[in-house]
Amino acid sequence: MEIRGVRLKKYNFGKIAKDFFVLRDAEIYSVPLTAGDCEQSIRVVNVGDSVKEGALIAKPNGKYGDFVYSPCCGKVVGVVKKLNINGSLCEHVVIQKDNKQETDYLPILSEDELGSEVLLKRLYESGIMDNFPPYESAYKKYLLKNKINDLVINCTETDPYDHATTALMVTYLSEVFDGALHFQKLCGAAKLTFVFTYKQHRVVKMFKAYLKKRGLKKKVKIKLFPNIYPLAYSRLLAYYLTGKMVKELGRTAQIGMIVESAVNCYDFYQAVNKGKPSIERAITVAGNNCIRKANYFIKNGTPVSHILEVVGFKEDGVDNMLIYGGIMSGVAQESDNVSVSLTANSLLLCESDEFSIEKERVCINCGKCVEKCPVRIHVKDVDDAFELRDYVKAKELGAEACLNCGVCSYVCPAKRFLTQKVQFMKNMAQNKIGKNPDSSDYVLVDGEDFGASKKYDKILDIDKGFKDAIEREVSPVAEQIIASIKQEKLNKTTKDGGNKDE
Amino acid sequence: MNKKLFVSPAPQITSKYTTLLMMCAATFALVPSCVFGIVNYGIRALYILLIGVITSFVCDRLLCYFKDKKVDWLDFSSIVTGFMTAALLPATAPLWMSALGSVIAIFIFKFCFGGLGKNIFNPAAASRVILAAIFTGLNLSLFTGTAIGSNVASPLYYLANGDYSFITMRSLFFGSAPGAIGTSAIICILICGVLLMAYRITDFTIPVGGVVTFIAITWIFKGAIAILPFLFSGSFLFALMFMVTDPVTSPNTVWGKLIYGLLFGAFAALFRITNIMGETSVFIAVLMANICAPLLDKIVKPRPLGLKEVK
Ligand code: SF4
Ligand code: SF4
Repeated sequence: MEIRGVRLKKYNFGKIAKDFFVLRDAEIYSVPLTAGDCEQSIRVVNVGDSVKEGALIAKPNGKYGDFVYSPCCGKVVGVVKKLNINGSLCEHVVIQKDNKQETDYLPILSEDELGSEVLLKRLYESGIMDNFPPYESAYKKYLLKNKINDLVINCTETDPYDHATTALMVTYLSEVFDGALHFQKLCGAAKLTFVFTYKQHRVVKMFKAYLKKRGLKKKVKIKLFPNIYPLAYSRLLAYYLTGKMVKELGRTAQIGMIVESAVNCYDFYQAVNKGKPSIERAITVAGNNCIRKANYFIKNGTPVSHILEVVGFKEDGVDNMLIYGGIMSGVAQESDNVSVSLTANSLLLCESDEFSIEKERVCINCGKCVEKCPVRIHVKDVDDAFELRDYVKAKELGAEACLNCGVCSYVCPAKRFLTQKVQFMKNMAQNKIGKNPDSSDYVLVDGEDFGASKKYDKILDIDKGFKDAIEREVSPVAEQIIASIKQEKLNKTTKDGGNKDE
Repeated sequence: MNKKLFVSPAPQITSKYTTLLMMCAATFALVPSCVFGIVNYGIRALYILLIGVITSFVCDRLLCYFKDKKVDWLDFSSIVTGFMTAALLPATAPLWMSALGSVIAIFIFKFCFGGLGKNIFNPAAASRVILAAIFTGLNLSLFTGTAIGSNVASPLYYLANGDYSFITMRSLFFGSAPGAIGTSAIICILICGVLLMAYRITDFTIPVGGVVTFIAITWIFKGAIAILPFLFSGSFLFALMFMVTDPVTSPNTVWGKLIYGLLFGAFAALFRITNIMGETSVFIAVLMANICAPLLDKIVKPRPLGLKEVK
């Protein structure tokens, strides 16, 4: 299988410590109720409520949503509608931390009650989000009725700044591995494969020694890939492993394979063995303008300004860039008035010499973009179609297959904004544009009850993709589980008196 | 943090290959063989080259100004074109011919097609063919390229007559054989061409394809003894390394590039063997291959992954 993409080994900016740090707590957390490309969850707390760490603050909206938990012990002081870090407008629950250390975690599951159903329930209620595209709730992958043969744990890091996975594998190997075993039990896969890149040979050596110690060397397969960006896309990884490419908006479960990330494994271990819902993520904070570059456990809803204050930045008077996500596909932020969500991998604070701002020039027809595109789109022709706004042609050329990986823009010698253009054509071909509400300014709605008013009903409609593509393939058993656990959970919260919306 | 933050579309890093770098590299790759040319053929060669480059750059920027009302001084693509056009002339050519060649290349074969990136034909090759067509009556020895002060005919003349003993490999390699300014120092062309490929400025599929068919066809028609003299004489290697690999006029896909290279090699070998146009035959082969490029782009298309349902 030919692996296309780019080698980014030259961009290894500075050394990042391999250990983990827990970020000092912030005073205020503003937790976004939309983390990835999903619908906004419905808030179940109101201004003035006290919440413990790990208490439920939002319930799923519609059939497939997420539970959101409080990252700290404190008091809800406001509900704000503003842009989240991915650039979509959603409600944020603002929680002021107090000095108490009370936790309200999920019940711990004992080893012998771990069955597929129990684990699916736990995955659903713990609210773990995928940290790879298409950033959605992790449990959705397990809902399809197809039989799962392969479970693949993606431990690769091809984005040059991203070190969280390697660090996690080094520091918390047994936790990650146990999480992977839980996932295997959940989906009933016969094979368990860990995927690394050749660059991570040290981790692989360590991992092999660990497997030998546990006597599992026969049961676990290790697969190595060249260090070529991108490998994080689960559909692409499944293609490299099986030779079958799942359709855009499809799930790899359709070909009997599930791809999880190492970070998800760690979080799932925490959820099962510690009862800790998904309230924090392993995130790399890096970039040359950043003083204490390291991997941190950062809580959901931590304001970016707080992170910057803790890690420190050299403000040299240059114009810097704050990038959320990897440097290849991340989103440059306009301000630090945003808070981290659960889909994060890295947060980069770059100096002006690290990123390149080039003028767009005319295409010289070199074909580099066509050659390197991992899904083999004729990018140059889509670019031409963009100039003519010829959506039909873009559809014919397969612009819909685009992963938004950024490789084409990276290799283009004329520095054309190809990724954005292909993405635009893709969205037009899928009739998606125009559904995001205009989100140019922030609205402060302190105290107003949004759950009751229907004013913001038409929030993001991106979750529709999942429904359209997959709904008919969801197994009825899984659906029942989801329905029952939701009911259970909500009954509990009503009893606790935490929910005033119901 | 109160300072203004920069915002730009992803990806925030880009590869070091820019149009400017690629054009500069292509220009510098031509320099060694042209230096050899100047040493061999005298200082007149230098004037021809300078005139070609300057005319081409000025002409290109002026046209650009008339078209867009603003000039991007860092666009070096015209320098490559001018350099190449001049390097294809023999040192005996009159100076105005260099200027004329550049104007034809830039105005007709680049600007009239829509500027950089839109031209179908390689401007340098096309202008060379036009010059040869216009001035056939003027001076026949002009394009067979005899060296100044000698009456030695071009190697091509002997090759066509099946006389391989006359030319020594040494003279071909180090450029003392008669020929155009930039095209006779085979050793420089080879080294620079391979360097360009090694640094991924040009694509290696095209030269590989070209050499394969060229050798094959020469072998079939002229026998094994003819392969090396045919390969190393005339402008074939120059065209192969610097002209058909021109990104603008070559196809986009890898397979398209390979077929394009094979086609060029075949055309060049056939035209050389029949030797109708002398040294110009290789450039006609370049143009023929150029014509095929859009067609190859239509035929050879990448098939995007993930558009069909899988089971
Ligand atoms: S077209 Fe899409 S998938 Fe292909 S390289 Fe560009 S961004 Fe990546
Ligand atoms: S990489 Fe850029 S310059 Fe080359 S063909 Fe693609 S769009 Fe054109």
